[in-house]
Amino acid sequence: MKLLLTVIFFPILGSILVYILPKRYKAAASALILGIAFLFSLLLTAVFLKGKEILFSSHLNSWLSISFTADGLAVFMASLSLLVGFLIALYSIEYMRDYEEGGAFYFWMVLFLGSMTGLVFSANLLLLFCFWEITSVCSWRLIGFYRGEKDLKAADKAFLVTFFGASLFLIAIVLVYLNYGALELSVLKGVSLANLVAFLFLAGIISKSAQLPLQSWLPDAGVAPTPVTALLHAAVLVKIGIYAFARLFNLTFVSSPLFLNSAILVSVITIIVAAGSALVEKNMKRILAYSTISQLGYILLALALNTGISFKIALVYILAHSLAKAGLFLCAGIIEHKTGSKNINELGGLLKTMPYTATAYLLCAFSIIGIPPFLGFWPKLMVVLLSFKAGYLLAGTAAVIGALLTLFYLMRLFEGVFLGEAKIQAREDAGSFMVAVVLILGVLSLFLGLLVKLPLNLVNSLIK
Amino acid sequence: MMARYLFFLTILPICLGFLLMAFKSEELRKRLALLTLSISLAGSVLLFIKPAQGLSLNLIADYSLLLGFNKLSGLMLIFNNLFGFLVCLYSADYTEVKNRRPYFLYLLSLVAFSNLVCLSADFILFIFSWGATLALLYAFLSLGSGPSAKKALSIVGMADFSLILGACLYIFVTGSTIMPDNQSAKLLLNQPLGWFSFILMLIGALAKAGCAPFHTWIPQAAEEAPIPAMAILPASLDKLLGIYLLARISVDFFVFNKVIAVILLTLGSLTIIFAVMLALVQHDARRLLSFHAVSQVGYMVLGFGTGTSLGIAAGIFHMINHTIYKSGLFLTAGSVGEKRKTFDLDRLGGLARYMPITFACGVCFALSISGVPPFNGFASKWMLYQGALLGLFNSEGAVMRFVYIFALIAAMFGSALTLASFIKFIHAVFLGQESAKDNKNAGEVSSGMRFSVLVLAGLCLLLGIIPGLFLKYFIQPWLGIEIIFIGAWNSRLAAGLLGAGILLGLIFWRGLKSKKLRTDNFFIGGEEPVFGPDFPATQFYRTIEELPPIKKLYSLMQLEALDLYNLLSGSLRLLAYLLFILVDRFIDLLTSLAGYLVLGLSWLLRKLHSGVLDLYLAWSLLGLLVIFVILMAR
Repeated sequence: MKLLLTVIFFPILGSILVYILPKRYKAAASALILGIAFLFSLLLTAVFLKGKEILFSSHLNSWLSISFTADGLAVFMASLSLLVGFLIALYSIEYMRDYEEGGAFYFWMVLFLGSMTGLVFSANLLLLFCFWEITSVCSWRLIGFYRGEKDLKAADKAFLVTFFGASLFLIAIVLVYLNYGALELSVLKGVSLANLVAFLFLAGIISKSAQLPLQSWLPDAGVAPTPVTALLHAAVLVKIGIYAFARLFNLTFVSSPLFLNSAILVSVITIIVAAGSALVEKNMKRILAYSTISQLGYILLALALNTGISFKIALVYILAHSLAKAGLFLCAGIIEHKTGSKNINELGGLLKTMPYTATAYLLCAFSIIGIPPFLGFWPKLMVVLLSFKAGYLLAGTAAVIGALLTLFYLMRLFEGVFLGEAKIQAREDAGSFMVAVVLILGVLSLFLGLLVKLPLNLVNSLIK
Repeated sequence: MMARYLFFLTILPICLGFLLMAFKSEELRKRLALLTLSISLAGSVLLFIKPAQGLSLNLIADYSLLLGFNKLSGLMLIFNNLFGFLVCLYSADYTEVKNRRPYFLYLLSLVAFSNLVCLSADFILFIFSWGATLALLYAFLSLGSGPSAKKALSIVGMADFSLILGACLYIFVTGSTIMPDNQSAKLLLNQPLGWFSFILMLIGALAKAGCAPFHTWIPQAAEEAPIPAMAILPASLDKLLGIYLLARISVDFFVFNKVIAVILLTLGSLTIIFAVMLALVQHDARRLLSFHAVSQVGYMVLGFGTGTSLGIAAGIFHMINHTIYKSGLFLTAGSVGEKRKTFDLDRLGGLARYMPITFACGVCFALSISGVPPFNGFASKWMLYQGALLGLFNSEGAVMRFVYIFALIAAMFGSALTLASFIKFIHAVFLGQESAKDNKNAGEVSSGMRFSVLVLAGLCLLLGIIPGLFLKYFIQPWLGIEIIFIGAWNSRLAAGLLGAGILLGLIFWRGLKSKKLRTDNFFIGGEEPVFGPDFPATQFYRTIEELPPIKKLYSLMQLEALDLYNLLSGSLRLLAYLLFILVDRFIDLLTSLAGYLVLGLSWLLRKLHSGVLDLYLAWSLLGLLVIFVILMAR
C-alpha cells in the first residue's frame, strides 16, 4: 500500500521539487526522479506478481473517494509510462539545454507523469477524471511551450478538443452515478451500461486518443518541443484514452454489441484515414503524429474485439508502439535540432553524416510498420488474425492495408530525410545522449521482437 | 527426441550473428561465420537423413508456433545452408563488403530465417520468418544504395502483406493456423474467399521469387547492391523461398484446377519471354543477369502450372538448378567486377586468358541456363517440356490446349533467346579483342572465391549427368509418387558422347594451333567497315532490336509507367490524397468552425454585457414578461 502511494506521489511531489530547484539542477533532478519512480513501479510490479492484493482506499463521501488499486493493467501502464518518461527525460537534458524557459518544462513534464500514474491506479471514476484533467492542463502548457502565436493556438485547440471530450466523459460519469449510485470501479464491475452512457465515455476516449472525428488537435500539437511530442503525443498521453477504454469496457462494464461494433468502425476508419494523411504531409512531426493516430486505431480495434486474448495483445501493442514511436519522434527531434527544419522537402542526404540516427529510425520504423522480427510485428499480426477470427473480415483487411500505407509513409519520410542530396548539412555528435536514447529504443524494439516470449509472458502473468 | 534439437542447429546462426558483431577483427568474424554456417549445413543434412518429429512452442492462448519437417523442407534447408556457406566464403574476400561489420550478421540471419521458413508448420511462424527475410533483403540492398532498397522493400513488402491477408483468409476458411501438408485435406476452390486467399498468397510467392510483374526492383538493385547480396538473395534464397511457397500453395494448400493451371501457365510463359527479351538488350552484366533471373522463374511457375507430377517435379528441380547456376553467374560477374571494377559489357573483353578458371565456370553456367546438355539446366527444362506435353495430352477443350501449346512454345523459344543472350555475355566479357591496358591487372580472384564458383560449376555438371539420382532421393520422396518420363534421353550416354566430342575438338584445336596462322585485312565489297575485326558483343542483336514492330515493343516494355512500383505508389498516393482532403481536412474544418461558432456566440453575449444599467433592466423586464405569459397560459 505504501509502495503504491509512493509510486503515485513520488513524481507529483517531485515535480514541486523540480520547480523550486535552481535552473541548472532541474534537468538532472527530473531524470533522477523519474528513474527512481520507474524503479518503484518495477518493485510494485514484482509485488503484484507475487499475488498480493494492493489497494488504498479512503472514502470521503458516496461519490468521491481517494482510492487506488494496483492491478495488472495499472502496473503495466505505470511502469511503461515511467520507463519511457525516464528515457525521454534523459534525452531532454541535451535537447532542452539551449532553451531559456527550460525550467517550467521539467515541472510540467514530471507533474504530467505523476498524474498519469495517479490516473492508471485510480479506482474511482471521479478521481480518474481529476487526474485526466490535470494531464490535459500539463499538455496544454507543454504544447504552447514556445509561446508563439501558432504554438498557443495549437495548445488551445488541443485543450479545447480534449476538454470537449472530457466534458462528455464527465456527463457519462454523472449518469453512471445517477443510475447505480456509485463511482467505485470495484462496485460497478459487471454492470451493463446503457448505450448512451457508453457513447459519452467513448467521446472522451477518442478525444484523448485522437481518434476520428476528434483527431485534428494531435497533428497541430507537433509545434511543441520534441521531448513533449514524444512523451505526450506518442508514448504516454494519447494512451490515456486507450487505457480508459480498457479499464471501463474490458475490465469493468458490460457493453452492447452495437457499442463495440461502433468502436471497431471508429478504429478502422481512423487507421486508414490517418495513414493516408501521413502519406500526404510534408512536416516530419505531423507525419509521425498521423502515424500515432493510425496506430492507436489498431490498439482500439484490439480492445474493441473484447476477448481475453485481444486485450493482452493490445497491451503488447501499447508496449511496441510506445517504444518505437517515442524513438521515431526523438529521431525527428535530433534532426530538427541539428538542421533547424522539419520539412522533408528541405531535408535529405543525412544518412552519411547521421548514420546512427538513421539506423535507430529504421529499427523503430520497421517495428511500427510491423515487419518481422521486430516487436511491432507480433501484435499487428495478432490484431489482424483476431479480427478475422471474430468475423470482422473488412476490419482485418483494413488493418493490413493500413500497414501497407504505414510502410509507404515511413519509408517516404526516411527517403526524404536521409537519402538523396544533402540540402542542409548536419552531423550527429559522437557520444551524444540523444542518439544513445534513440538507439536504445530501436534495439529494444528488435530484441523484444526476437524474444517475443518475454513481453507475452509478462502480459500473461499480469492479466489473469 | 534428439533429432528435434537439429531444428535449433539450423536456427543457431541468428544468435551467433549478433555475437559476431562484437568482434573487431574481420578475419575472426569471417571464420566464425563460416564455422556457424558449416555447422548449420551439417545439421540440415543430418535432419534430411534422420527426419525429426514436429515441435510446438506456445505463443499465447490458443496460438502456438509449430516447427515441422517434410522432405521438401529438408531439401530446401540443405540448399539454403549450402548457398549461405558458399556466398559467405566468396564474400569474405570481396572488396565491396569488406569491413562492413553487420554484413555477416545479415548473412547468418538470412540463412537462419530462410531455414525457419522451411521448417514452419503453422502460418504464424511462417509469416514471421518470411517477413524477416524481407527486412534482411532491405538490409542487404541498403549496403548498396537506399532508393533501390526502398523500391524492393515496397514491392516485396506489398506482396508480404498480401500473403498475410491471404493466409488469414485461409485460416478463417479452414479454422486452423496449421499449414496443411501433402497428407492433410486441401481447400477446394469453390468459394470467393478461397479464391481471394489463393490469389493473395500467390502474389506473395511470385513477388518473392521475382516473377513479372513484381520483378522491377531486381535489375535496379543489381546495379547498386554488392554482388554477393544479389547472389544470395534474388538469385538463390529468394527464389528458393518463393518457389517453395508456390509448391506448397499449388500442391498442399489448394485442390488444383483448370483456372489455376491457366493463371500459372500464362504468367510463366509471359515472364519467360518478356524478361528474356529485355535481357537481350542490356549493356550491363548485372542487369543482364537479373533479367535472366526473372525469366527463369517463368519456367518454374510454368512447371507448377502443368499440374502434372512430372511438371511439378521439374519446377522444383529447375528451382534448384537455377539457384546453382544463377548464383554462379552472379559470382562470376562479381569476380570480373572485382578485377576490372566495371560491369559494362562495352568495356570488358578478352578476360578468358587472364581468368581461365572463372571463364570455364562462366561457360558452364551459361550453357546450363541456356538448357544445353549435359548441364543441369537442360535436365530440368527437358522434364518441363515433357510435363507440359503430358498436360497437353490430358487437357480438354480448345482453350486449355492453346494455353499448353503456347506455354510449350514460350519455354522453348525462351531457351533459344537465353542462349543467344549468353553468347553475347560470354563473348563480351571473356572473348573478343582484349584491351591489354585494362586487363593488365586482371588475374584470377582469391582461392576462396574461386572455390565457391568451382563448387557451383561442379554441381551444374553433376546434376546434369545424374539427374535421375537426384530426383529419386530428393524430390520423389516429397511428391510420394514415382516420376515417369515420357521422352527418351539417356543423360549419361549423352554426356559421354558430348565429352568425347569436346575431347576430339580439343585435339583438333591443338593440332591447328601448331600451324602458323595468317591474319589479313578484311574486305566487304569495297565498303568502309563500320567495325573493326572485333565486332562488339553488345551489337549482336541490334538488327532485331531495331526492327520496327520490335523496336516499338521495346520502348513500351521499358516505360517506367508500367513499373508496378510506380503504379502501386501512385495509386496509394491518390488514395491518401483523397482521404486527407475529403476526410481529415474536412473534419479539421468542422472543428475550426465549431471553434468559430463558440467565439461568435461569446461575442454576442459580450455585446449583451454592455455595462449599461438600462439594458440590464430591459432584459429583466423582458424576462418577467415571459414568466408572466407562461403563468397566464397555465
